[in-house]
Amino acid sequence: MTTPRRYPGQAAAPGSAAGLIYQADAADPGTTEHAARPAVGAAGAAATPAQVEAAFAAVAADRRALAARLRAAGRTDEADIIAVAALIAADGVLVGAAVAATAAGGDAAAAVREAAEAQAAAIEAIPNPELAERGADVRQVAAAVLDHLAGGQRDRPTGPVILVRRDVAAADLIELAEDGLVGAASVAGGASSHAAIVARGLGIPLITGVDQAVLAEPPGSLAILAGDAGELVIGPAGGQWLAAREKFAIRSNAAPRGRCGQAGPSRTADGQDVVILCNVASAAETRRGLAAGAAGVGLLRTEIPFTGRSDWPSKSQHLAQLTPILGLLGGRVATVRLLDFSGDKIPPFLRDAAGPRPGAGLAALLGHPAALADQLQAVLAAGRDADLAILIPMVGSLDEVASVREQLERATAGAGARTPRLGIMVELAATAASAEAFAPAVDFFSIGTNDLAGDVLGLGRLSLDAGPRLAAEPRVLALIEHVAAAAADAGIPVSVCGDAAADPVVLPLLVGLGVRTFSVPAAYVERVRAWLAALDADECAALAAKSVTASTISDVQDLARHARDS
Amino acid sequence: MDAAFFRAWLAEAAAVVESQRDHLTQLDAAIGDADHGINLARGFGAVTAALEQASTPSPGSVLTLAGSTLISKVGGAAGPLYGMAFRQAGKSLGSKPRADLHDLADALEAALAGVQKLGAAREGEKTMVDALAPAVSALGKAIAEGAPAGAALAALADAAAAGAQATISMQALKGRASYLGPRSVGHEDPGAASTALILRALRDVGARGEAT
Repeated sequence: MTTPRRYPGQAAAPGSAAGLIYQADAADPGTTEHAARPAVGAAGAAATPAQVEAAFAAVAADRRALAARLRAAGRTDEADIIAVAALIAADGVLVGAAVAATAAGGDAAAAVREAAEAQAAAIEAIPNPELAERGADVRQVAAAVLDHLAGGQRDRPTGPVILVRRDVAAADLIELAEDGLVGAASVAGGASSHAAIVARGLGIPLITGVDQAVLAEPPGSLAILAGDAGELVIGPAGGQWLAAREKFAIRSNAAPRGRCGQAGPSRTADGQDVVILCNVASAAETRRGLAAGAAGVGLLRTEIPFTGRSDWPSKSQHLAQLTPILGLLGGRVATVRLLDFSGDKIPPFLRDAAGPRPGAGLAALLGHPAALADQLQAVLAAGRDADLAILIPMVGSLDEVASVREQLERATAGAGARTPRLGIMVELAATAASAEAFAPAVDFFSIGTNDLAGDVLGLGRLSLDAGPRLAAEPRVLALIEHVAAAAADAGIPVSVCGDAAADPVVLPLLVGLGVRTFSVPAAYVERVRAWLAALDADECAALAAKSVTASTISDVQDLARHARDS
Repeated sequence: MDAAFFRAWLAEAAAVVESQRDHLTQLDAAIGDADHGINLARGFGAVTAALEQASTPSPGSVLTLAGSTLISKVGGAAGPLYGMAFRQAGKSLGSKPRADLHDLADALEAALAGVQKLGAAREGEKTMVDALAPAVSALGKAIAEGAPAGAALAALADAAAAGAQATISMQALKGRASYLGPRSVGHEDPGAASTALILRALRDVGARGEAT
């Protein structure tokens, strides 16, 4: 048996999947960086200048048509992203360079690659970060042109596939999502790429920054993608793959049938009201969550587009991210978390200062009052019509809460806006343990189960095997119980916005501990609603009481299985 | 309008572009590579220097020399586009020692055609065409209505300014700014803004009574 190959990468879209490797760059001449050498054996190398021009035009037309289809389906954000690719494919500078190089007697494929590389490099040198990010889109357009020159579409993959490509494009994800795509891994790109935004909206896990050796992996290989842990494992043991396939199938991207657009209040089987919100970082996710019946946004991750930036985002950059999302919400709940530059989301400009200490990102934000003021002003402006709440990440002290509250009051007065509710993420063990001290100072608690479990259990990164289920560890459950009790005593709401709320084993335990508000990834809203509708709150309470005093996580899982089967 | 008038226009344009250099650069920073003001100021500075050194007996020769200088001194897309505009205008004026308003209108029409051909741009795509095209139309209309030179040039400059303002609400469909998709909406196009400035300079030189 061969050893599985492990490819670490950055988590760009959450979730996990088991599938078969699909190599979309099979026509690429090799794995060397932007090879200038002729594409040996690659079809299309002998194309004429007219064919090159026609290939660009075909890609532009193809993207325009896809954008129109998406727009007609109300998927405006994805349509806007794809429309940009159409404009790039029609850019005279890019097309002209490729056509001229081909006419000068060059190898057509090399001419397209070199023209794209020159244009991408020029774009990336621009000191406008948003424009610089589009360099990747230029390369993706060139890859589509090369596909076209090589004779159009290769065989479409079937079954559950994990797309592997040098530079995964938003269009790849949208097109393959209809063919059973369950995950994707990209050598290039980052969390703010168009592909990442679309992947999060589609609920497809994506990791980026994977070593390019992955491009040489045999197509059709078994693979497990752990999007949250940021790892692609190729060639796991068959049994392990099947187990993962079964485990992740329930969380797979396939849209649940017959429930779309279900709205109205959510209830448990015994009629207890529960609230389901969604976790989002883009308008696409928000639209998906709302369409699935989410009552609003329980966690808006504001740092996602900025994790690659070289400075604090400006007010207008915040507005550019927030306005399309909050504009979808009307008067619904909009819980906006302040920039959470922590863990694997520390941008270059904070890397030296922040270090690995949890909460360092918040300390840095509080240390830059102008950056915090910019964000608060943008949130107040963009969230004017929503039921707005501000969430502070990684809170470790009351001073931090007081400091944000003071700035929030100043921003609110300046904007003439209503004061939004101010809550904290309870995700550090020490904060959870002293929840009763924080409760009087805040308007709500939101429990971040991933980080809380990691902190309690002393894990830097969640393991592939356990994931969100670690929240079922008795020590973690005991802390959640303590936080819920402190919230009840103080009369403030408590919600869970960690991925554990979207885990079928942990969800009943959370209900049993008294949590009634859940914020889950947009793609899981309908599933969580269905699970909750099948739960009995009293039975959950009994299960939770036993689980808190259990000794290990497997005891808890046994209890849960027993409760479900009885 | 003789060669001295056109030299005065370019000197005025150089001064206006220099004074608005940072503003143009800020506009470009929002949707481009933040060098439009710097590049253009350098280019028009070079035009002024070239006109001081070379002999330019006719309006046509003034504009042709300006165009050639801009092409060689201004980087990015702006150099070739402005260069093409001035060269086409110069070619249209030929070697006549004086140009009247009709000649000027024809020259600006030729400039517009050159820019549109080189950039493959139409109105509404958030480019300098959105300032130049309405300006050319306004000048033609003013002449047809028998407006005096000062009023005709004012109509030209006003239409250019309004056209540049109108690019704020447009989405860029040409050039690198188009890569921003809908995010390019809300910013004035720097090329349209500089075109409006250059045509404002033409109006101001005319208002000094030199457009006879």
